Amino acid sequence: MLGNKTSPSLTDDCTLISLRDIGLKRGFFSLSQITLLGQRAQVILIVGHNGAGKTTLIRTLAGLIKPSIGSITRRHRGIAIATTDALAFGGLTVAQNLSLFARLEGSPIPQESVENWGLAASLNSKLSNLSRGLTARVSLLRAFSSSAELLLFDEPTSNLDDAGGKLFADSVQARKGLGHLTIIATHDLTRLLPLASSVIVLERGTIQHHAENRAEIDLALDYYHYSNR
Amino acid sequence: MSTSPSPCFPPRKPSPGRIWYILVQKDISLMLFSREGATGLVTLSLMNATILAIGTTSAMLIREHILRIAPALLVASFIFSILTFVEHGCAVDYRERAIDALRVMGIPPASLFLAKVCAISLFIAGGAMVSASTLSLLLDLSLFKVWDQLLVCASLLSIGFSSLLVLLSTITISARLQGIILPLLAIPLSFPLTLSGIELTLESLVGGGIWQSPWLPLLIIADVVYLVGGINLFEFAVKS
Repeated sequence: MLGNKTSPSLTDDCTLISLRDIGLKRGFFSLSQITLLGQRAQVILIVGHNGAGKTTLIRTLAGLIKPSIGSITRRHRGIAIATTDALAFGGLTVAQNLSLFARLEGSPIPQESVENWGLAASLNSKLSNLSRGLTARVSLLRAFSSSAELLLFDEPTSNLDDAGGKLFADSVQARKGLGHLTIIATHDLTRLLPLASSVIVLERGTIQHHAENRAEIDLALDYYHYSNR
Repeated sequence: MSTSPSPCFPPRKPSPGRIWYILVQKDISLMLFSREGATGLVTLSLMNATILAIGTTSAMLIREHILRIAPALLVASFIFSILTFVEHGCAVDYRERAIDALRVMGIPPASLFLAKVCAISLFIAGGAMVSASTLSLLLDLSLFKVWDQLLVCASLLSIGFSSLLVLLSTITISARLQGIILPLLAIPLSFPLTLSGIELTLESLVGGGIWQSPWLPLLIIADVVYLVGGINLFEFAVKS
């Protein structure tokens, strides 16, 4: 095991979330000894094979799953999440969904962003009638419209075309500029690796590598690709 | 072409009352515009009341007996009509894991529960009125002379049933046999509501009115128990 670094101290002002020795078992999936620090203006990529525990880790970070052991310390304001599920109401239109989440957050409806994400023509369509790609755009727009400091994404680009992928990367970059922390579970290294501040390789629910500089990232990814064969 | 960056200052969180109001609006929209929602409820209410009325008239009962069994018919029609509606009304939050987005935003589970109960109560009280009107018409009952008392009964029954059924639907949401498990759990647990609903309707039709009836406090207490129980248990039901 390389890395698994927890170098910054827990009292660091830049730390938005810290996980210490997290463990849980949920059906076939389990996580064990997950220690992770997420800091301001970081983009953390979580990679791993199917069933490695990426989604479980993202859901744990979101607070949707409570770990059975270990502790999570949070210093961020709000959480926004987008996964392969729409996390929105299929029976409502795109406009109703965006308006609902914006009103619940107390923020304005993101008119300009609707056009940027190519959703202006679909505003009055029911979410359940949209393609997977457009549904993913709605889900991502909902997450990026939030002012949350912690953004969590699970396979965000899996249903997106090239333009959508670029839009996602640009939006992550913009949030990084605002000092927000973005954690992305993905297989799409081609698109997302250039954004990454650090890469975590998960295997069977444990962190095999936590690489924080380019050389370490290359080494971790070599390991990931090798074990993927 | 990135999404507009979030404002430098965090947006002001809406008050709990405002959150509840937004959630009620969401639930009403979801139930109003779906096939299994309002349309299904009205259709089932009409159909059940008609079937029960036809069954009763074909038995050629005398009018006095019809008056005696009409409250039971009304409550039976009400229960048969609302089960699918409430099941659907709760399931919409779990498709595409929409409820997770609300939970992550920090929306209190009690607000989710109260909003759902409020929206469902409005619809099923409407369904009860459809059943009552149909039975009134087909069995030649003069229900509208006591409309105020029936409205109170329908409102209290709706609040009690929706509190109970929203909680049970959420608990059984991931069960493969939810369609069977939900009625099996709901029917015995709703016994105080069913019984007091029948007795109060009977009092309003052939008795001295519901205001002096001992069943009215029982119905109110059952409503409070299910509502408070739901508020406290909904969080665990959602998490599980």
